[in-house]
Parts: sequence; C-alpha cells; structure tokens
Amino acid sequence: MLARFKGKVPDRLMAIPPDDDLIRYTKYSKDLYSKEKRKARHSEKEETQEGGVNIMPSFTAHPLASFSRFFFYFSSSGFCTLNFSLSSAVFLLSLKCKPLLYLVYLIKIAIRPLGTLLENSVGSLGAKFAQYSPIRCFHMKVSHLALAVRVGDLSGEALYLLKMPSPRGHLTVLGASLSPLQLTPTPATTLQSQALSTVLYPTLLPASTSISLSSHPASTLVPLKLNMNPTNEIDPLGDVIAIFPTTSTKFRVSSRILSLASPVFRAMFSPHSLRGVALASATALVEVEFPDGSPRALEAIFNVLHFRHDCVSENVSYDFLYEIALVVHKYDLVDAVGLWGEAWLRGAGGGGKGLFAMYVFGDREGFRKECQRAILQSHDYDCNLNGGSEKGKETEMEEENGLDSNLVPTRVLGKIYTSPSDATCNYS
Amino acid sequence: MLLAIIANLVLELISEARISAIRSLLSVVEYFTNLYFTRDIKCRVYIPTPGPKPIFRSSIPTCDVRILGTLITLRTTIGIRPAPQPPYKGFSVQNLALAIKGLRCCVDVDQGHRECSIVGQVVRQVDEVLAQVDRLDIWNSCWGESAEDSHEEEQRWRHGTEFKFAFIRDRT
Repeated sequence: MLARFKGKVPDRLMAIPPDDDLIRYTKYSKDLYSKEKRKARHSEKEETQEGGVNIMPSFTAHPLASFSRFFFYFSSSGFCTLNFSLSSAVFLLSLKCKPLLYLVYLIKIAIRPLGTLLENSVGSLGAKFAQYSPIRCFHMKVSHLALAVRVGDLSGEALYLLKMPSPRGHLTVLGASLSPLQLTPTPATTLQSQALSTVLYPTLLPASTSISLSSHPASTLVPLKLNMNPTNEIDPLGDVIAIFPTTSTKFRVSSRILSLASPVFRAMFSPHSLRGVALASATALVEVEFPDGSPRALEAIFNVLHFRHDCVSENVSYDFLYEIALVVHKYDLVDAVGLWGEAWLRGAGGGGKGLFAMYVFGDREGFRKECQRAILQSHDYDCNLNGGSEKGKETEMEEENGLDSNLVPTRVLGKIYTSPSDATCNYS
Repeated sequence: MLLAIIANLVLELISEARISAIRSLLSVVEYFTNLYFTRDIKCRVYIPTPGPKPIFRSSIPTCDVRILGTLITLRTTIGIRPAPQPPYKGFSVQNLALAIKGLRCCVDVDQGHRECSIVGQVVRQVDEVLAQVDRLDIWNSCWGESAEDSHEEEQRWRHGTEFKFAFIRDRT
C-alpha cells in the first residue's frame, strides 16, 4: 500500500511500518504492550544501571495539547496519536482530504471496545463504526470520518492511532482548520511522566511506569498552521465567491452550476439582475452574500452541486439537517440534491424541524408517521419547532414507559402493568 | 411567509387531531360511566324475577356496582374526574389510551359473570380511536391529491368524533 504513495510522501513518513506489521500491531496490541511493559520494567532496571534507554516510541506533546482536552502526540515513526477525553461535552473531529489516501488504524480503546463505546456515544455513527472490528484496519473516506461525539455520562479515554501517509491532509478540530498537518520526527529523550502514561495507557501501564517521551521543546517543532477561514475552493475555476455576514467563511463556486441547479440562482445570476451584470462585466471574482444561509449547510449543498460527493457526509445532525432543509427550500434545490435528501433524512429526528425536513425533501411516509407520533405522544403541541431539542428527547425518554408519570401516579402505573391481559379477576 | 403558513397549518392540524382524539377517549369512559349510572341492570347473568316478590340480597348482581366503581376509580386515578377541558395540557393520546385500556373489572367470573366485564368493549373503542389517528394523513390534508377525502376526515376530527356504541345500545 505504501508503495503507492512513493514519490508523494516525504521520506520521513516512509518509516511507517508496512501494513502487515500495523495489523499485527493492532491485533496484538495488548500483547505487544504487555511485552513493552515487561520490557519497560526490565529496561528501567538497566536504565538505572546504564541509563538512556528508550523503551517506547517517542511522543511529543504538541502545543495544542491544551486545546479543549484534545491531545495530539506525534511519534518519530510518523504516527499521530490522537487522544481525547470522552467526558468532554462535544467534539467534532473531521478529517478532510482526498479519500483513500488515508488509512486509519485503530490501535486501542482504553476503557471499552470501540463498537460499544461509540455506539453508546454517537448513535448511528457509532453503529457504522461498529461494523468494523476493532482489531481490523479499515479504509475509509476521510470525509466520512466525522465523529460527533456527544457524551454526557461516559467517562474514559479513547485512543486512536492515525496513520496519515498524505502530507496534504487537513485536520479540522472543532472548526479550526489545521493545514497542512506536519508529522515531525523528533529526537527522543527519556522523560518520566506519570500523567501521560496514565492518559495513554491507563489499563496497561501502571501510573508509576516510566515511559520514554520526547522532551523536545515545543518551539522547535514545526507548528501547525492555523488557517481558520480560508476560501474553500469548491470549484477552483469558479467565478463567484459566496460570503456570509456572520462569518468570514468563503466558498468559491461556479455561477453556471448554481444556475443550472436552482431557478433562484438562475434568476440571481441572470443577465437581467444586478449580480448577473456584475458577473458579465467582471474581470475578477464576484462576491455574493448569503445573508441568512448557514455556511455549513451551503457548503454541503455546494459540494453536492459541484459533484464533490466525497466531501459530503451522510450523517448529519438534527440541527444541521434543518439548516440544509431551509437552504434547499429557499433555493428550490430539492431536485438538484437528488438522493442526498434521502440519505440525510435517515438521520432525521422528530419534532417540528424533522417534519419540516421531511416536507422539504418530500418524504411523505416519514411525514405521516411523524405527525402521528406528534398526535399520539405530545402532551401539549404548542406549535414550536424545537421538537428535537434536549427537552424533547427527555420527554421521549420518559415516555418510553408508555404512561406519563405526570398523568398517572407510579403506584397506579405498577398496578396497570401488572394487571392480567384479560383484565378480569375472580371475586370471592 | 409561506413557510410560516405551512408550519402553522400543519401544527394546527396536529393540535386539533390530538385534541379530538383525547376528547374521543374521554368520551369512551364517560359513556360507560353514564351507562352504569342508570338504574337498568346490565348484568347478563341476572334474570329478573316476575312479580312483586321480595328480592333476596344475595341474588342482586353486584357486577354493575363493581364496574361503576372501577370506572369512577379509573377516572380519578388518571385525572379525568372532573373531565379536563381542551387543550388537555399534560395529557397525551398514547398515555391516556394505555391508561384506559388498563381498566380492571372485578366481576365474579366463577359465577359466570365473565361476559359482564366491559374491558373488551372499552379496549375495542380505544383501539378504534387510535386507528383513526393512524388513518389520518396530514400530508394529504395539506398538499395531497386526495385532499377532498382527507378534508372530509379532517372535518370529522374537527367536530369531534361521535362513537356509535351500537352493541351497547342493543344490550340496553
């Protein structure tokens, strides 16, 4: 596999072990680490006698280590270890790059198996991940690797080892675009670190185990270039820059494609409109402001319209779907987005926003079922559009028991549920 | 503007359908309560003796009394006595239907009074209400091709569904 990347990948990244080794490393990571552990103990003794023995791959704490409990460690062999705490509230980890250039290897989940952990944490996305065995490596379109980890009650650490052969990768964490990602080999020195050993290998290594870490000063590292708001060139040859009043996000798109997709855009860019005149006479790019459009929704739709389907995620959140539906409805893009509507609706939640999305994308059956659910389960349909809010979810959770505790006292509920189906009893 | 109109229309239909369904469910309980408040004997086993013969206390069927008591208890426990008023805040169709279907009738089964129980009838009526909700298609009401049929059904819901308890009337 790595041979495919020869010529593209810097030499320092070619030090990555071949696939077989990695698979073995993944599959038998426990054994490996156990051996490492034994080695560590052994070498600790040697170190005290001889000194200066490296027992683990060297890791370098990056300056971003303090970034919202997100930790990155870059090893000299080209591995990037991403360590994040599941007890944090919401993470959005998305890797944007050319698909199939990245191999994602899962090495170890510290507390629980990956499938269970992610299934509990991220719902449908976790189920998608659960299809993959934790001990297998899997190829994945990195645009699909969007982890929206919402964890309220889980605690623990998840550890991923990401192998990134492509130097052109963009790592986006919590909206911050880090481009390009530099994997820098650093000289390893020995460092005693109880805390890091606890974070990295909480189940395998005792807190008192000493591991070899790089103590290379952060200032000598190649810094990650923070490029927060670049112009996203959805169409590198596009003639229009989409801008937003609330953010400085910009998208370079083609007015021709937009005009073909939507009658609204067609009117907007027609020669009879102001923008059309500007476009016809312009020698540079024309900026078009989208005052009330969500940038992320418009980005997804622009990607679809410009045939960049690998950059669009099927798993969209409830609010994101609503934003997409608003844009699709406003610009009359239902036909243009095509089957993406169905794909997005698979994750549609309930409530008014879900209803609206189903209406926009023409999901008649889903709309009917959601209306029935609203009629049957709502306690007071007060005509708000926030049916998918946390409060709504809590209400649904309460209603799982079938009866409303506000309506029927618990002791009565117990009697009702324990009553025989015939609902008659002997009287003596 | 159009979006707001659509949203309001849909939400209004949902709200009205919910209110109408709850009203129908309440009417089921109310109907049976009123039925057993009357002096007529509904017990199927009891055979009235002709003539002005004295009625022995042991021969009076207690089914009716027990069922009436059960109904009143049910109404009290699920909070519909006195009857709530629209928009029935705090009530949901599903929960109310489940609570009503949980009605228990203590009739003397050993003495052949199993048929006196009204549980089966109540459950059937509640299921009928739920089936009407299931048949409701708000999409049709708003934008569908068969909007006329749907409108007719919608009108029924708007004015409250009248349930015909024919089999009960036959009995009484």
